[in-house]
Amino acid sequence: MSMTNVFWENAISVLVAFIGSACFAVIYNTRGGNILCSALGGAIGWLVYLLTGPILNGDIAQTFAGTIALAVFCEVIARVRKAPVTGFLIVSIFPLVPGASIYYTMLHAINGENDLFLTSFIHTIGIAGAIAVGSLLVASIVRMTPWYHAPQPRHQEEGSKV
Amino acid sequence: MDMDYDGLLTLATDLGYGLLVSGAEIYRVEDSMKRLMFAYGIDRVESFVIPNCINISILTPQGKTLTQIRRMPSHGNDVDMLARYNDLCRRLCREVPPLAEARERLDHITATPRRYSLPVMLLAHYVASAAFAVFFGGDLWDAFCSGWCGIAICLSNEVLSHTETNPYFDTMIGAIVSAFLAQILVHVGLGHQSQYIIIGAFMALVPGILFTNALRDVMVRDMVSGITKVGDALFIGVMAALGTALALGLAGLLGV
Repeated sequence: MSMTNVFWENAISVLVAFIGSACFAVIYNTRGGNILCSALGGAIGWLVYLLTGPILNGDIAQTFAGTIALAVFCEVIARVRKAPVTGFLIVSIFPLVPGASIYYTMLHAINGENDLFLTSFIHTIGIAGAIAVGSLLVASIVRMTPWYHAPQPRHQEEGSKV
Repeated sequence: MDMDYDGLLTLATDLGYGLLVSGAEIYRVEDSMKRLMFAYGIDRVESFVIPNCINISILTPQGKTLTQIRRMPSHGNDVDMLARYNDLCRRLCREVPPLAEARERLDHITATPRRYSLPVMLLAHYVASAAFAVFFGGDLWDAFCSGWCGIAICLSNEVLSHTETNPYFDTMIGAIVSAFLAQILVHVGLGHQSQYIIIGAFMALVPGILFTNALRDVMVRDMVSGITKVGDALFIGVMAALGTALALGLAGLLGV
């Protein structure tokens, strides 16, 4: 396949990831401009997944890179839009989530193809693990910054409003 | 200075309930209830949340222990409500209004959910399924067919949401309906590769988000929640696959 074909194929998959994420944002009841932000996160995650293809070998590492990129984006946009980061994350992760892989795993299990089942099962766990570690890594780093305040007891002063 | 600590405890539990029902993470629910208590001057708070139960216990300044347990129904994701509850929690912690006012603001949010209308949801399901059919390698005709399967899933969910079924059954019915429709559309000649059509529509059923969130919970050592959710995700995955297998077998029998 020629280079241009590969380029257009990838460009289309990023566009489709954007549209798909936008629709899942609506399905999960995201409102207004946040839909665009979530969709952008989905496209960024998939774009980084594709771009890191030549450098990293294996889709687990690529998923990890993609997740870190979209998680950073989501953490930033959540602060800009003043909304919980979860709302953006669950939608943006959609293109990377091993949905098809879970489907194949279970189909192999039902068809009694044990070798294929185990292979795709381990692969699914690998991808899901990469997403979990990636998003957790970003969340943990955010908690190390001075902008994060852990819940602290506040000793009530005399004559407060309550 | 006297305060209605029972009312405060109920307020915190209701807030936690709202957050969890809207799909908040375990740590967010626990943190939010704690923050609210701290803001109202209670220094000893223990909260323990798992996907189907909220436990919160406080020690009042008078030295009395109050505890509340709330059983959770099965729940999904509602990004808008999550944002509103979260915003309310932040405001309450900052402004610390009188309890009655806080209560009123919480009840107002609970009473006014904003939902998209059915046509919008159908359109979203159609385009999402079509997009992911192309994403996983289908052509435009596959996308066209996948969209209809997505609509079938949305409609079956809508119908089943009015009945007393469980999410596993809902998933299975959705899988059966969409996979069967995919086989028919391929048989008629509209679609080309039924696997892409099915997977495109399946993105709405497959528990990818649940599974990933489960692993996140495990990694922050909310072990009970994490393992519960992993089990939940596996069951839903099995149900989706069983539904598909059933539909494919049925289609084979009918010669579709």
